Amino acid sequence: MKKFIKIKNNNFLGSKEHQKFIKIQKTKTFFVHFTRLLLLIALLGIWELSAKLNWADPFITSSPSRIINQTIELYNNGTLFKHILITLNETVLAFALSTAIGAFIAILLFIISPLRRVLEPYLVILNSLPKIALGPLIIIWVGVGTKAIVTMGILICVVITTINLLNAYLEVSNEKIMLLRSMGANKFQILTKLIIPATLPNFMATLKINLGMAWVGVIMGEYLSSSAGLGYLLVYGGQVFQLDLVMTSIVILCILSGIMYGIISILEKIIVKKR
Amino acid sequence: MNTLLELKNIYLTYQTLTSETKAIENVSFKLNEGEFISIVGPSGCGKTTILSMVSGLLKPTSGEILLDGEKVTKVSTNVGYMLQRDNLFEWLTVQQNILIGVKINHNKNCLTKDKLQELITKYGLSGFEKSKPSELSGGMRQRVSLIRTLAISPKLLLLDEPFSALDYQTRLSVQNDISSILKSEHKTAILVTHDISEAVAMSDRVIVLSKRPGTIKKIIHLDFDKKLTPFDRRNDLQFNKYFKLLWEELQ
Repeated sequence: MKKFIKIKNNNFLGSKEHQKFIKIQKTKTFFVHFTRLLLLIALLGIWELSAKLNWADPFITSSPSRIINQTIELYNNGTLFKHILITLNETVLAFALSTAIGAFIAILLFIISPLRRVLEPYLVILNSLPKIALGPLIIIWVGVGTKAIVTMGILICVVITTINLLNAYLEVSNEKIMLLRSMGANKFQILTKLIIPATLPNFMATLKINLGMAWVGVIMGEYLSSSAGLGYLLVYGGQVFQLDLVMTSIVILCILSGIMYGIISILEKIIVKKR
Repeated sequence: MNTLLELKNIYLTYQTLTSETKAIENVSFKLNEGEFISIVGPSGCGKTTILSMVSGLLKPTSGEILLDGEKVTKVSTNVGYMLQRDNLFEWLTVQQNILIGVKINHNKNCLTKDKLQELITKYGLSGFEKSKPSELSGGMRQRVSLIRTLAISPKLLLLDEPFSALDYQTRLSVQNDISSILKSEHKTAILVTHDISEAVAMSDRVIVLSKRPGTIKKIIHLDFDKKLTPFDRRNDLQFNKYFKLLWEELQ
């Protein structure tokens, strides 16, 4: 698909066969987008219809119109943006901090290879440990609320960031490292001139994984202890059997994580192109 | 002529937990300023090991290496190392690639930007300064790699099979290019290769190493007309004689 956009921008006009080829490809692409949209509308339509015609109990399954009404209600009583902002704030914090900490540890382990050898099994164990198991400890050690939630988010993201980045660093060609060494480069120069720019695509891919993990961590943290936020709404909605509230929270989460993923994708395109 | 490089009774043994391998045994030779020598030998005979020791990346187990009368103990900009693959950094432009060594050494003992621009123009890369390596042909990439090596102004160039990744036609023309660049910049060079014809076409002397552990089996002086390019040498009457001589040594 990308190629065709490029051709369009260059005002490339090829032979008749080429134009025909482009037309067919464009039609195919259009069909894919169209079907995607159709699928969404169909799903929402069936959902709504099944609630309206009482095929399924809307008290259990909710419905698109009830979700919209619920959202308006939340907006009217002034809590919609409060909950969104709290969760968003926690997610961005957990995401940014875990990326920074993870990258820092990865660099440290890359530079100091004895440390890497010592810590390797610990990293493996920490990676396979279900972090939710640390929930009670987190609450006792850092207290309830935002701190606990962000800590949970960081714990979930940081190990995988470290492992991903470290592996990427270790995969940079030895010959290139030798080349820089033969020019008299020190470790710091090898890092800044070669390792970090060479692994930028891996870094961006890690950011994408991290973002998803940060959402998981934050919602889990909010399950654990919170008085506001989308995770709180989910738990609360479940407890008082208000499935509209649960569904609304899920839909908002979908939209938010989609937007954040989009932002990172755009960022990736700009940065990887510019490096 | 001045001696630029001298290897005195070099031994090198690689250690691993399960074994030790003698890679180089009692290798001694001298290299004069402006001379071009090739090292040939069966694979695994320690050709690259010798280059690594000369560059200072690897310490010999015993013996000493003198560059310009001084003992080689660490990496320095006096030696430029060119590897089998061009190892250009894909995310940098041609110009930035060429300047990488200069930046690492903070312009110390390096060629000036003007001089580098002159090399870029002279060797057919002008107009490509802002291009990415992926837009260049194999031959152009190898020329960028050579200019990058020359940029730190080394007295001695180490060429580790720099042509083996190129297709035959490109290889012949890059051999010509690099040979003329080295001649016009008055550089001294050691070429490691397993291609006998390449060694005969390019060098003043050829050192033949034995199987592992590598010892010097023979040194052959090539007596070609100084003006001949590597390509011309291939058509010279003496070419086949030297080729056969080396071929027999390597059997």
